[in-house]
Amino acid sequence: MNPVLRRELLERFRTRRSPWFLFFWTIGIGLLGYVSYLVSQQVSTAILGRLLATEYMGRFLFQAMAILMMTTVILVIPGVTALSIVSERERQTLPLLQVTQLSPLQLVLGTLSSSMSYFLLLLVAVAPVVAIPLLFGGMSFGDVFAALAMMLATAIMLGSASIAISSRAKSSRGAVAGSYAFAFVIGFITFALVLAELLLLRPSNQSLIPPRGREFYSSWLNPYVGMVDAIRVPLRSQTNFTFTPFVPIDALLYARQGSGQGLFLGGMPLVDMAVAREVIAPPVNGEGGALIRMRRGPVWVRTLVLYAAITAIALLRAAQVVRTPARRVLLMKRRSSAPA
Amino acid sequence: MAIATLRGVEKRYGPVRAMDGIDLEVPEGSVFGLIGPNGAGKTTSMLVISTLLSRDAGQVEVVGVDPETNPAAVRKVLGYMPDSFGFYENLNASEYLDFFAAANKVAAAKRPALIADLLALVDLEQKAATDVNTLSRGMKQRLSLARALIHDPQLLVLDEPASGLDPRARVQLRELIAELSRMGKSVIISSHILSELEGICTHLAVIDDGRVKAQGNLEDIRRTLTATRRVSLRAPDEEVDDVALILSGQPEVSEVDVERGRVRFVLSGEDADSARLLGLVIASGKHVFDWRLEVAGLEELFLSITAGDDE
Repeated sequence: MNPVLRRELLERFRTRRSPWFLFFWTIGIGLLGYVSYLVSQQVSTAILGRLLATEYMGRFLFQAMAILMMTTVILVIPGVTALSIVSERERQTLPLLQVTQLSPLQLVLGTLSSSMSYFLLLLVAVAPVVAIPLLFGGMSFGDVFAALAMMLATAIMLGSASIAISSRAKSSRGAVAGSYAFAFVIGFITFALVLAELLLLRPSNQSLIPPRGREFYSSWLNPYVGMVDAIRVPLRSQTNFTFTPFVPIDALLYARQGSGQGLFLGGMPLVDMAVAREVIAPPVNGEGGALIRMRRGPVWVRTLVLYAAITAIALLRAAQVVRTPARRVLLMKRRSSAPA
Repeated sequence: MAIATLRGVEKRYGPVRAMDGIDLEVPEGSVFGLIGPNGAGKTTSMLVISTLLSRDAGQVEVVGVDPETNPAAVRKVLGYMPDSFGFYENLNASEYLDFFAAANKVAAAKRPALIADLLALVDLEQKAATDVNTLSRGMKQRLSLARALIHDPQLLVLDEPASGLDPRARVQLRELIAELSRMGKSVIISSHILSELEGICTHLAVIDDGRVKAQGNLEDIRRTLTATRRVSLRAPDEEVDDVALILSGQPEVSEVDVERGRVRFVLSGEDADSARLLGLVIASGKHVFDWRLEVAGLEELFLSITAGDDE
């Protein structure tokens, strides 16, 4: 076991803060789950009638929980990781670590894995609450797996970025502010960028969403879009509109494939059947709507590739900052061998 | 044989030259004192040796390896103790050492015995389960020393280890360093409080303004710097003036001073000249109760080495 991970776990779980945070976190998610249940009950009764309510409630609950938990990842991970390196510097333990036989990357990975293990504990603690929607139906284990995998990828990426910010920060306050600013940009500002892209970068035909759809590049970075896409793909045509928490992102995904033109602006993710008829593929297993032809590859793959790149760059950058002595010998040699 | 060598090492922090062509040679098995005022370049030199800082120019070798090109090799044989404590919250002394043992790749099976031995060496075996943050300053320093020793390094670099310690803790630390020296460790130790190093160091380098003003064996430095040494003798009251008169006529003697049955003078010469003068006084039929060559302390040495720097 990485010594840094072991030490951080010991330190973290001996503070009074950790059990209290875990307690309030579990209570909070439970309460939010209950509120989501009440809302879904109201909506399903009003719109669908009781017979159809159960499946719909399961889907509603799951989607609400997924969005809430992704929001928690965005809000918790920077706080958990932002202080990692800067606090070593502030309590003057960084030089002590730097002269050990741990490589800079081991040091950085130890810190990251500590934060991730804490995050995993938070996930495990609320697993029973998150499992409740499975009892209602309307979603599968695959959906849960996809949601959790995207949350984990987001957590690793945000944690790595926070560690990189922490390694360069001069104070704890700066590290926390920088990490939250980055998480905020990734989690929320990207939505504004999608809107800006939609309105400002129109394709040549002047319509906001052409029949063949259009790409929203900013959405590739957004963890919510990535998660919803991972759960939704392959997209199916929808003939009945039902409101669920994924609706706004669904609309974006349909518009991207060119099957939501017009209706997107009305806020409903219904398939434009005129367009959909052209692109509809044969139904699969007779379940749900027909598959919609994917003109563009899944967003979640792009999201994962981008997150992997950010993670790698952030970890290497942090390791570079932590490495001592700074690698100047090569520069010195080059300088001394350069012609006068 | 030198365990660490610095040749013409330069390091700048912006416009400030922390190391301005420093040359050092730390003999193996020595306790090498770096003395100098605050800001002289002692800590920077130690950071460069300890692989924590890159140099701008010059050459450095620690156990025959350049710490900048192969820091991992140097870290295996080097124990570093900075002037700050650097402790973690919620860890006891034993866990603290265990963490650094693991970080230095000490096998898990060997760690419990090693930690017990080290805690005994630094006289903290009773504090193994005590939270590090509740230890006294002296205990923290000793624990810090145990941490630096966790992977049995050949060379210890101790930056101001006694700063802020009470007299008793200083004595304990000095004894500990002497014990380490007996165990065959090479030690580089810095301080701006010269009395801290008195009696510990076998070798010395005086650093001031980023430069080495003098270095070598403590006795050699004394001899070099005290080409003129003070001699003090005690004689019977009725003979004191005669003894002073005899000595005043000698070419190696100057600044003769008589005070309360003592004659003090400055001798320009070696030990043999001192012996010749003593023989001369006795041959004159005078009595000498006490003849003493006054040894310059580190403070005197430092002042004579850095004399004129302020001008």
